[in-house]
Amino acid sequence: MNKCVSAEMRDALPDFVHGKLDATRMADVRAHIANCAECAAEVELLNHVISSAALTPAMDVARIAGALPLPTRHGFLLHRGSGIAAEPDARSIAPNSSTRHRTWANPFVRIAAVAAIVTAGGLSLLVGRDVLRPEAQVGQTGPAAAPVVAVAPTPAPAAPIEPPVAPKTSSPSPKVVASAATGLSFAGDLQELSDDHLETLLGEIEQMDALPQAEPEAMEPSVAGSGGDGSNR
Amino acid sequence: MNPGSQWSVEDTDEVLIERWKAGESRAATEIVRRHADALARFASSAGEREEIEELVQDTFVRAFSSLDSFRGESSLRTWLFTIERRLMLDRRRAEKRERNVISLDGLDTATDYDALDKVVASETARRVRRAMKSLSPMQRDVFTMRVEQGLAYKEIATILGTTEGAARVHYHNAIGAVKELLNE
Repeated sequence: MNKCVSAEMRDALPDFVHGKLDATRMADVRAHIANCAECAAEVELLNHVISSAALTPAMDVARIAGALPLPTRHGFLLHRGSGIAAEPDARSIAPNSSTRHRTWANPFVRIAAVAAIVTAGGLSLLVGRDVLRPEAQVGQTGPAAAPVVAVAPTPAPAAPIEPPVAPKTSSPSPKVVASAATGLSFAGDLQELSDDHLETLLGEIEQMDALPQAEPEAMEPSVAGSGGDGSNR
Repeated sequence: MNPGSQWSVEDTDEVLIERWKAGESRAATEIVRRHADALARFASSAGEREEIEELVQDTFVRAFSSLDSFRGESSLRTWLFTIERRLMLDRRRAEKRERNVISLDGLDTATDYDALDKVVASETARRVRRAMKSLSPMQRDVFTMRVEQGLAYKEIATILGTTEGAARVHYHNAIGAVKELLNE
């Protein structure tokens, strides 16, 4: 068999067997092959390679497509939880190590996970700090802290937890409104008072006549009719 | 459902990508339909023995997860081949670590083709496949991309991270070696 001297023609043979050349070029190569045994044999070999490669297993397009991330209009990619709605086959992808690997390989999933961890950690720190801080407990606005925030002016022997006071304070504060006639009351949060203000306020409360001199006795639930709902105002 | 029924042949991959980005998830199905078989053939030709569909699926998942980095400088298929080849290299490295078997850079890759041999019906095709086993990994990759996929040297060079001229040399060396082995 004579050697082909046209490197250009030999170079074009793969494109020829794939039909990727334009019509003129295809005709040129076809004419060359008719007179070149080596190139004719090479074309036959290339066709054998192509035909043998075509015997690979067919791909399940729906299954593969079902594993793809979903686009969103916001630019994020979401991994499918259940596949394409219109393609039930895509739902049958069983989770395996490969799927898990793909899930964590997605940078958006990693970013979301990190954000969730940071948020949870930050919230737990904030909550923990508030719980551990004594003044925060005093200044809670919930039902348990309500008696401290507002003191009722009218004596109520049956409810010593709501001491009737005629308070006045010697430490004026924008948040504290003192009235000798109506009693001690203030709006705002105890956390905003300084230690000196708090001490002064406690001293004033201790001097009030209506206050019991000792800690009140433990009350039976039936006695505390007015405070039965747990909220002392 | 025929996934390809709603798409025109004239719709380019770039058009489908834009539609997918706009929320049409079925555009992805069409892209998979267009390229999955070629990726499977490439994987088989490169010596992948098992879980070819998993490999192809991983390739698409990786590609669609980073479509923003696809700038269209090469064809989508070329880009997919690049991703698939990297995944194959990762697989080979992992296998090498786990089982101390032949790496992609090794010389003895005969066992890589055992599974494919079983499905090659033609004796001539079987001989061709065996001849291809003897090629170096780079020669085989270039040869299969050039012959089976019909890729241009420029595309092959992009996928393999080499030059167009080097790809051309690898191809001619490869086909020369295959011919020689078939004539023995």
